[in-house]
Amino acid sequence: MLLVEGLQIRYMLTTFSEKTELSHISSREITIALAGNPNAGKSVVFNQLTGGNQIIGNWPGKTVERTEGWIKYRGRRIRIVDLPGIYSLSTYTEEELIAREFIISGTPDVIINVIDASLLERSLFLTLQLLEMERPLLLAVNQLDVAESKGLKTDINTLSKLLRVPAIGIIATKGIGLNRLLTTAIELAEKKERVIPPTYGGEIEQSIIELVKSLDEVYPEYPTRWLAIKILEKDEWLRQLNISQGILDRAEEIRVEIEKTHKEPIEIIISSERYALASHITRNSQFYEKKKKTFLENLDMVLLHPVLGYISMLLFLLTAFMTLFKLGEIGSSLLEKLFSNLDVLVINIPISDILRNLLFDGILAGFVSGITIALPYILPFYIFLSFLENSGYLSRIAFLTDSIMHKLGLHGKGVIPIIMGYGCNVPAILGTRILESRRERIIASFLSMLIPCSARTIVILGLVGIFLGIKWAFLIYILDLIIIYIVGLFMNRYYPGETPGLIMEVPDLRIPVLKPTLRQSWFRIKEFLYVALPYIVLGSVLLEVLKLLGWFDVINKILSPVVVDWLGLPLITGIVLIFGLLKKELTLILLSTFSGTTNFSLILNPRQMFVFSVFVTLYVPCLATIASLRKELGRFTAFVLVLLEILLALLIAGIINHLWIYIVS
Amino acid sequence: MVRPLSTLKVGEKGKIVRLIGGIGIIKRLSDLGFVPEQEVEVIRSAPRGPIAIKVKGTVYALGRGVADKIYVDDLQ
Ligand SMILES: Nc1nc2c(ncn2[C@@H]2O[C@H](COP(=O)(O)OP(=O)(O)OP(=O)(O)O)[C@@H](O)[C@H]2O)c(=O)[nH]1
Ligand SMILES: [Mg+2]
Repeated sequence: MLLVEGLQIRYMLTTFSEKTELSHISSREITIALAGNPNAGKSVVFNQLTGGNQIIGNWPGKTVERTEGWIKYRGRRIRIVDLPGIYSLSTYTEEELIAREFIISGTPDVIINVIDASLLERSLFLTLQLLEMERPLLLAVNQLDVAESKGLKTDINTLSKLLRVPAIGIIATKGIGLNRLLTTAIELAEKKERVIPPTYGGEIEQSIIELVKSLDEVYPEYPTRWLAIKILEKDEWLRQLNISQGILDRAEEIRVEIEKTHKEPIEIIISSERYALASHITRNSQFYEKKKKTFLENLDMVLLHPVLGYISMLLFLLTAFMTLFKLGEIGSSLLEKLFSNLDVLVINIPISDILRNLLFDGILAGFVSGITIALPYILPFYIFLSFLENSGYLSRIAFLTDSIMHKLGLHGKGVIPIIMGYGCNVPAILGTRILESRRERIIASFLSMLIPCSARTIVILGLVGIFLGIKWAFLIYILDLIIIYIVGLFMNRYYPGETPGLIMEVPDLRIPVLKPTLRQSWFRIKEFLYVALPYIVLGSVLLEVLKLLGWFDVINKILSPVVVDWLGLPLITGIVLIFGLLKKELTLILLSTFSGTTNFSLILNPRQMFVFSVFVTLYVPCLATIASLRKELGRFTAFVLVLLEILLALLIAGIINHLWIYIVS
Repeated sequence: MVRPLSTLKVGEKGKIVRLIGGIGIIKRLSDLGFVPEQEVEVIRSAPRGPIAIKVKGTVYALGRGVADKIYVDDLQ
């Protein structure tokens, strides 16, 4: 606590005027954009300011969409925009394009550049580029606690002076400095002062000046200096401007000349110049005191080790699996006892039998099954996922699996959306935006769809895990991974294109900060309670209605060749599988409400349990997943992928059904 | 001796002299701080797999093919 307060006093000093005169401010809306490197803490700032629930985590590339939040500040509306992280204003992947588009064309009134104080020099590389845009800019020097623990002391005053923009020290996770950040941002937006762009050294500066002369007043909506640099860099973005051939020719001459003296492409020379300036500023505003290697740094050497790394990864995942299963089992039986006497509530109400049926078998049973079957598994799982995200271990897994992923046409980064798929396939498919090519995105999306998300985990653990034993549940996960591997091999082989090499930041390991980690799990649970649970209750009611109307048998009849003959499942599972399209956990929960018991061994034999779970794991993505597939990859690709998945599920579950006698004997 | 970064052993340091390859990858690397004169250190190296390199206080994982494109020289 002491440390925090000390920091607060020391770092809250800024060069900017202390008075926050807001009385003169009109009621115009203000747009504030949060820009910065991946992992700098933009989304934490966003969540803190707006009360939003953006995904945060300790790996680069969580935010892949532009997200807006509105707040009221002293009676005026303020729009805050969280952007994907970028290392520079040049772009390589989809999410980076989104951020850059907004910065260039979205005309934010003020940009808050969130930087990680423990990675000052690298962060300033982007800051310099943002300054070139000459928009009001505020530097939020974040993660001062982390920098401190690494022995880095930041002099925010000097930093602000050297960059000629206001700077404020913050610790976003603890909410320190955020109020001040907001008031200063509003103040800046009001003043609309253009910032002074940085000047570089040597021939680059000369050529910029030269080009600026010929560009003057041609494109009033863009800062000329910035345009000149973009022209020198031959940036693709320029195409939309139709720059005159004369200027382009002049730029080409300059470029050739510079490249001749430096014997290097101009892009590198410009980057070097920017880094030289960033390095100069860093040396003057941050001081380093050597610290002993921390426990986490030593641990990291083990986690990334070519042998020990793999062993610890397997141990870690195995332990996690066992723990999550045990916790789910215990929680499930506890809740079941708790709810077992609930029937009395309904039995004594004086209403007609039909209504009682709807009420009891529909609403109440659906609610109870939803809670007892689903919650005990997903609650610990979400906490675990949040821990995995915020510790930084995901990037280690990406590093370790790079070679394997290359066989599947992806590189190590591709494993991150796939792992996210264990939580939910929807963010997994959005998350493929961190990959460079469309080919990779299609492969990674398909593979993520085959990952059992938390809804399917409920089915696997709640059915196979409980009634056949944990070994069988484990077998499904392994089988699933083998299927994914083989599918990946095929896709890599028959889908032409090559896999780019891995270039990925590996952020420091961290002990996750408790509050945001729990908050994140809570938001996911809330999603279950508010979105999935109503579906479940609605589904059970609908099922009851269908039963009462007598449609039940008709639908099941139609499905019977597939369900009964090919998959060997009881007739009633047909309709349940259709409901699974809405939410996968519905399959199991409706089975329970339908048969009036959570003892599934009364309705399914071991073979059927196993086949059912495998089929549910693979058969078809839920509607939300299909929708995001369509949005990300287009209607045609989405259709093909879904079709492929259904065929794959039928093939594999059917084969298991028919070979079962050989498997168990 | 000038050699590809991928040939450095764990714990070895070097100074970048040159980046080769397509402009896309060169630009991306230089954006991250892989610029000439920059000191780099190999943190981890998996046989035939990716290598972990420290540059300006940040660790990056680079695929072997990418690391082959960065040439380094000994530090004086
Ligand atoms: N200790 C500490 N951790 C922080 C601070 N700010 C952010 N973090 C952590 O840093 C990580 C990254 O934060 P995010 O807000 O997700 O980063 P981002 O800038 O939105 O990253 P992208 O969306 O990937 O571009 C998370 O694990 C946060 O908990 C801070 O001030 N102190
Ligand atoms: Mg973010």
